Amino acid sequence: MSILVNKDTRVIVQGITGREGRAHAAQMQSYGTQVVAGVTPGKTGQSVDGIPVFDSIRAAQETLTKPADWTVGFVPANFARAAAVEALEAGLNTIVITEHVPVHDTLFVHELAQAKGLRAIGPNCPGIITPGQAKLGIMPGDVFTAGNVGVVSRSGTLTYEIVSHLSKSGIGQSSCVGIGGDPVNLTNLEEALRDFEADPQTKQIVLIGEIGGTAEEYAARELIGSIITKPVVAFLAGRTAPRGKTLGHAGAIITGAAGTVASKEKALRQAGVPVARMPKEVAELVKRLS
Amino acid sequence: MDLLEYQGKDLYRASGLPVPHGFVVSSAVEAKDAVEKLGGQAVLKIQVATGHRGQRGGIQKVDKESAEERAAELFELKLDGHKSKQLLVEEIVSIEQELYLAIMLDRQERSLQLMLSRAGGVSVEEAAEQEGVLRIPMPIAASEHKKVLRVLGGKESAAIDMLGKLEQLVRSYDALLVEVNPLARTTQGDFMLLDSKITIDDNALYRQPEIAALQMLGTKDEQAAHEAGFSFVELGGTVAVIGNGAGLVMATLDALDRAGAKPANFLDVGGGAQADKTRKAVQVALAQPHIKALFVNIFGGITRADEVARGLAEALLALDVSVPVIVRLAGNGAATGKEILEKQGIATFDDMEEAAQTAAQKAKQAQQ
Repeated sequence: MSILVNKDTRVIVQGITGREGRAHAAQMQSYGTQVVAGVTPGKTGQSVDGIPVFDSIRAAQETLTKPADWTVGFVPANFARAAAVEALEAGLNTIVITEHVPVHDTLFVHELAQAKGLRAIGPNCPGIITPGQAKLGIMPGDVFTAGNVGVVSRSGTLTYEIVSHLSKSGIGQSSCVGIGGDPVNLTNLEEALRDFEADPQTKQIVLIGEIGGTAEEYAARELIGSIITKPVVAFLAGRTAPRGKTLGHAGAIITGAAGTVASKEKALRQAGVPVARMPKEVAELVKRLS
Repeated sequence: MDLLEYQGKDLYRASGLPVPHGFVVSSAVEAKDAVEKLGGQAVLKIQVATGHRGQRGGIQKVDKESAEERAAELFELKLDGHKSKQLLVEEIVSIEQELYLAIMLDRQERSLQLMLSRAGGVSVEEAAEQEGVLRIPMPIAASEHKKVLRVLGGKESAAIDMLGKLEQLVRSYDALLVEVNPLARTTQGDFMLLDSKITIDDNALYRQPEIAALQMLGTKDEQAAHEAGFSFVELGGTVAVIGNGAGLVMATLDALDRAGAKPANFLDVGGGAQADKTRKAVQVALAQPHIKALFVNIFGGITRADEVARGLAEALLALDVSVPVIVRLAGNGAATGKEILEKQGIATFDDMEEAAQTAAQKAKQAQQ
């Protein structure tokens, strides 16, 4: 078990003929992910590393003997909404890797995904990986090992940093989902926590948060300890961040009193969640709880 | 991107929303002329992107006799380090009640949210204390209309018209926040938008050319970094920082702080950083004043650590860097990256905390 994706997940890569799409389709495939098709309008009939390319998702789905159930999009920010809409309209779940997607476009995609009863992840995210089974995204696969700790994170590289310590300490992961660094997450912290709660393989959860928004506070007050019964360990980035400045991630900004690490840490500690002071300490805290 | 009040009011006007008559002026003499045109009585408002202008003397009621002198003073007033380049000169509106209205992004609910209060002209926190704040998801459901109208008062048709136009403005200009504080209800039961605080989504500026043209950038170094395609914020300390991935760079700043050093900046070279991008990053980071050390923290993923190391090695040779350089490499390409740097006599670290402590120490030594 795992959350959202596994060895049976069948993936279409949107924007597969672009530089990023091509490189990551190949890496996903060599990780073991079933990349069954690529889509780039106007490039039908081509193939990329043996993956057939189609004009549209519908055309791909009609041709494939077993259709795909997820897409991963590597498209420019001004096409990200259109790509996600195409995926959702065709009945597929979708991951938006792209950074710099306008927030109103994300809101639109969110409403559509909700209406269709489908899942979307991102934007501005590394994707999701179920170690040893499937990688739908851009994370370096060799950092991850299979096990039973679920990881949900707002940051890509910081996840690799923390997961590499987990893996070195012999702590494997059920799935790791990067929900993205934007103000609006198509799969948000709450949904990811609920996914891990429902997954029998996941025994513990690592939450990697950062400044901006109040998702961590909400999770601490409304979910952890009641709806989320599995033990949670957290790390929060941006303890020393100044107010009113966006630090790299569009969602990483402290406005007024809201969104500070201090406020998140206080809420999490009150919910009984140990908060690591430094990235490598996460592995120690996970060990202590298991 | 935050718009100045008069820029926001231009959007209100373009959307057919009622705003006071006024003029934007750039000198005290122009201010006096504007006051005369408005009938001899007016309000002068400084135009800086910061809050609480009224409490800090940035808004003055004047007549035609006092206009020029007050305007000259306002041009000299500095709020949060900003002087006003323009003044907005506006007619005085007869008000029955001041209200608070905002439409903002609700990150948790993933929708727009309307916020209303009967207490206007004070901060939303104070408004919440005085009169309470009504929060309603947008678009407003028919069943919620009554609640909204009860707070707003006045003519129902005017209220509905205003809310519709404001929502349209938010969507068509990619706004993340439109705050009207105060919103005035006139004695006739109409509405007048007396102030404007508008934030436009930076990521949507490509399709908002009128607004992009107004763009006010940060410091010179922040501008250079923006053009080079990485994200950079000055923080004022002595240890220059370069890293990959926003979260990791934030964690790096935190690690330096724990080690007792003040970071000079946030700099995320971004995913897939190549050698030349790293070179530019080094240039920008070291161009800051008072730098005592450079700390580079890379976890190789899509950004290969050896690519960054190569760029760093080239930059350090070309730039004649005089401060100590501390490099931490991990992940993809770390081993090759270390070889490249060690050939040049640059020590590398595996552990982030250890590297941060060394950077802090070296910066302290350099300061003495």
